[in-house]
Amino acid sequence: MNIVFCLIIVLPVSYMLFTAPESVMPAIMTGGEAGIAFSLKLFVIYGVWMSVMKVLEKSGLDVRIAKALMPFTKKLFRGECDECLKHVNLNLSANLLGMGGAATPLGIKSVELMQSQKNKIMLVVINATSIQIIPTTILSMRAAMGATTDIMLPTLFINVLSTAFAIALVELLVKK
Amino acid sequence: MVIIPILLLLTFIIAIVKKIPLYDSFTEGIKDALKLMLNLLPYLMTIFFAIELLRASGLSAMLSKLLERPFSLLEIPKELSELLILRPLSGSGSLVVLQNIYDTYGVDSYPARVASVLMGSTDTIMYVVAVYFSSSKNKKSGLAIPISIFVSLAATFVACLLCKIM
Repeated sequence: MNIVFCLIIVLPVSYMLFTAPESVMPAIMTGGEAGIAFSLKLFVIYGVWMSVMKVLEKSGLDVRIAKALMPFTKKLFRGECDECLKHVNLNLSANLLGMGGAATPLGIKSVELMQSQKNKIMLVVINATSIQIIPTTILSMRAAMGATTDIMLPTLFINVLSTAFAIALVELLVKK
Repeated sequence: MVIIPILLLLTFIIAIVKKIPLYDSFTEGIKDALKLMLNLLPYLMTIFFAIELLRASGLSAMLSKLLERPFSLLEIPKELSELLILRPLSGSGSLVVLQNIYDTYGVDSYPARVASVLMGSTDTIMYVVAVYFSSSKNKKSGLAIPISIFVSLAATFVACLLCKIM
């Protein structure tokens, strides 16, 4: 990320030194002010959904989904111990519910406990191609701007499709 | 947009039935969000600086121009170029770009809808792969990154098609 950031900040400033040096600071100010405004907005959105997540967490919904995932993960991650699969299930259920923060440590632990390299890649690819059922942040950002069109159905459809595609590719391409 | 009130009501019902204190859950949730935002704010600000500079210098317009040809071949709207570059690298950065797309083209426009679908159906590949393998003994991620990128590109392609018909 540091290299990318270097690139996207050094290039425009050096370019503007010759084309429009007077616009550099105004651009930074506009950016910073927009950054604060956007952060406030995100804070409200996260405040609502993280509260909802708190309730769901306390109701044990993530644990229940994790239990339901067991037969599926047992087949997908062959040869891993129950302790490891338990972490995998919780990681996947947290991700399905959009609890990214809770999912990450569980995912790290799962990969640590896993024996087979192929299974590790499988879990990471499933996570890296997104499996969230309801994209609450995006939905809220759109609703806050008065969106009239729906994006949930196409999102869900593509999520299911891309997860299946990802699993198939790992099965086909990654050697044990 | 009925989904949001439905989700909220479902949560309230679960809380009441399961006797979960709703008020405490909300204050805790918002406290968590505050911590998250404090962590996120520096990243958001830096990305905003960079994006505004890219825009003011005219470089982002040049970039979209450059990507116009290959994108149109794949039927991907050129307005998505910034998003497609940032999405695998930075979650907060791509949220910023998404908001910019909403502001520039309108939240119900075709590029804004494709961008929304992409944000919901792809993830920060580089970050996930790096973090998940961070405490594994064997740190070789092998084909994890190429496969994830390929799947996300396929998802992009399908998202463009779907948003045209849905």
